[in-house]
Amino acid sequence: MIEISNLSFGYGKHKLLDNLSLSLKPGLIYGLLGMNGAGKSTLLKNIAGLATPWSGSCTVNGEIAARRNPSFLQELFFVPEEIYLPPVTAKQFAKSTGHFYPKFDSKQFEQLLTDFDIPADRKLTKLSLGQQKKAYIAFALATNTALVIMDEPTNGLDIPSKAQFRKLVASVLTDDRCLIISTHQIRDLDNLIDTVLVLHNNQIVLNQTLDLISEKLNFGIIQTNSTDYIYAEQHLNGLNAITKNTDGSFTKVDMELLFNAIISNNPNLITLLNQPGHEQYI
Amino acid sequence: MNNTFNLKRFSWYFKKHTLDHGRTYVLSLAVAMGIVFLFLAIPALVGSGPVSDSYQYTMYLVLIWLGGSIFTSTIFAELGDRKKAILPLTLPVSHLEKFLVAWLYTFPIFLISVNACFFIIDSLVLSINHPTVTPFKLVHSLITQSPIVIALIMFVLFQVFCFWGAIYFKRLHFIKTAFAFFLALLIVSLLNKVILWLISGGKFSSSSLFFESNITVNNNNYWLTLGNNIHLVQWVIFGLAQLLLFVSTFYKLKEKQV
Repeated sequence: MIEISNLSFGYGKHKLLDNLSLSLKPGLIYGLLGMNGAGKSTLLKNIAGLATPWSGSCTVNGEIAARRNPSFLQELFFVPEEIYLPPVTAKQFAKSTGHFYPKFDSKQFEQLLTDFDIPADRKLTKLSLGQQKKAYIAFALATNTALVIMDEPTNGLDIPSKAQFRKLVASVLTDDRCLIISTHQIRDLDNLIDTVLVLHNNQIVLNQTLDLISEKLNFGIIQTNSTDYIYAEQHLNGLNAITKNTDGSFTKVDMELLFNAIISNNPNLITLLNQPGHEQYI
Repeated sequence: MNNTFNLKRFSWYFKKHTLDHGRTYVLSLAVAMGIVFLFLAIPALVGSGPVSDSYQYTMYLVLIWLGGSIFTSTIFAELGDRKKAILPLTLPVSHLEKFLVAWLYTFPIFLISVNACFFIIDSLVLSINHPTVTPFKLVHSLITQSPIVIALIMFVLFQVFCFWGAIYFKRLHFIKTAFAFFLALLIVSLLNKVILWLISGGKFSSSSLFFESNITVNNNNYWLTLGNNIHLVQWVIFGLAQLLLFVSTFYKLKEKQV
C-alpha cells in the first residue's frame, strides 16, 4: 500500500529523514514511535503529500504522494497534531466536506460523534480543543479512506476519551484499510496497534508486528543480580527487562521498555528483531 | 478520474469555500462599504454643493485598488499557516480547481459585489444633497467622464501581483507583496536606465518609464516613442507579465508544502 524508497527530507540544511525505506500493508494499525524531533510528523507529511522528498520516492497505492492528485487524496485522511476547523457545525462540515470522500458515511459520522459525546449542532469553533479533536477524528474515521494518518491524536483528549478513541479506532479497521498513528505517549496505543514502527537516527529501525516481537522477546521483572538480558531498567522489585524468548512463551510487549531499549542504540536487540520470524527456534 | 478538472468537484469546492469563508467576506465587504459611506456622506452633508465626480472617482479607486489588493493578498492566507493549511491541502480537489475558486472570488465576484455596493451607496449619498441624480446617470457619468477602464486595468495588474504574493508569502501577505511590488518597480527602473545608457553609448542622461523616453544628449532633449505600435507593445508586455504571474502562482500553489 505505502512504498517509501530511499527517501531523504529535511528543513533547511537539517536532514531529518535519510535514505529511508519503508513498506506498509493494509489491514494493520501501525504505531509510529520516535523521540521528540526525530521526524515522525515529517515522515507522515511526506506520506500525505504535504512535503516533497529531497530525493527518493513515496507512493500510496501506486500514486506519487507529493502530486496530491484528487484520486490519491480521496483515499487519505490526515489528522494533524494541531487542528483547525472552520466556523461551521459538525453537520454542516460533514455536508460540505463529506462528498469529497466517496466512502464517507454520514450516519457513521453521527454515531461516532455520539460515541465521543460531541454536539453535532454546535459550531466547531465553539467547542473545546479536545472536543474539536474528537470531531476531527470522528470525521476521519467516517471517511472510510484506505489510509488514515493520525499525528499525536490523543494529545488534548481526557482519560475516558483516550479509551473511547482506542475502542473506536479498533472498530473501524478493515482488511483494505491502513491506519498510522504517531505518538510519544506510548501507553495511549496499548491494545490498539498491531505493528510498531520506530524512527530513530533518521531511519526506521524497527517495523515489526507485536506478535513477532513477543515471539522473539520476553518482557518482565527479573532478579537484580541477573545478567541474562538484552536490556533492563531498575524496578522496585528487581529489573524490568527484555530477554530473549528461547522457550516460545508469550509475554505482553512493554512498548515503553522496548522503545527505550531501541533508542539506547542496542545493536543486539535491533539485529534480533529484524531477523525473520521463527529463525531462533529452527 | 480526472485529476485536473471535474465540474462536480469544482462546484462542491466552490460551495465549501463559500460556506467556510462567506461570512468573513460579507463582513469585510460591509466594513469597506461602511467606510465608503462615511467618506462620501461627510462631504455630502457638510459641503455646499454635490459631491464632485473626481472625489467619487478617488473613492472608487481607493476601494478597488487598495481593497482589492488587501482582499486578494489574503485569499491563500490559510495555506501559510501550518495549522490551517493541512485540511485545505489534503482536500481531494485538484490544484486547478483550488486556483480557479480563489481567482473567482478575488476577481469577478469581488468586482461585481464591490461595484454594485459602491454605486448603490454612492447614489444614496448623492441623493442626500443632489436628488436629481439617478443611479443610471451616475454610472453613466462615471464611466464616460472618468477613465474607469484605466482603473480596471490597474486593478488587474495589482490583483495578479497580489494573487502571486498571497501564495508566495506565508504571513503579512499584503505588506510583503506591496514591498515586493515597489522593489520590482525600482529594479526595473534601474535596469531601464542602465540599458538606455548602454544603447545610447553613454550619452543618455535621463528617462521615464516604460515605453516612451526623454533622452538628453549634448544638452538637447529628444523624445523617443514607439509611435503607432506603442499600445500594442504595452498590451503584449502587460499580458505576458500577467500570464507569467498567473503561471507562477499556480505552480506555487501546486508545490505548496507544510
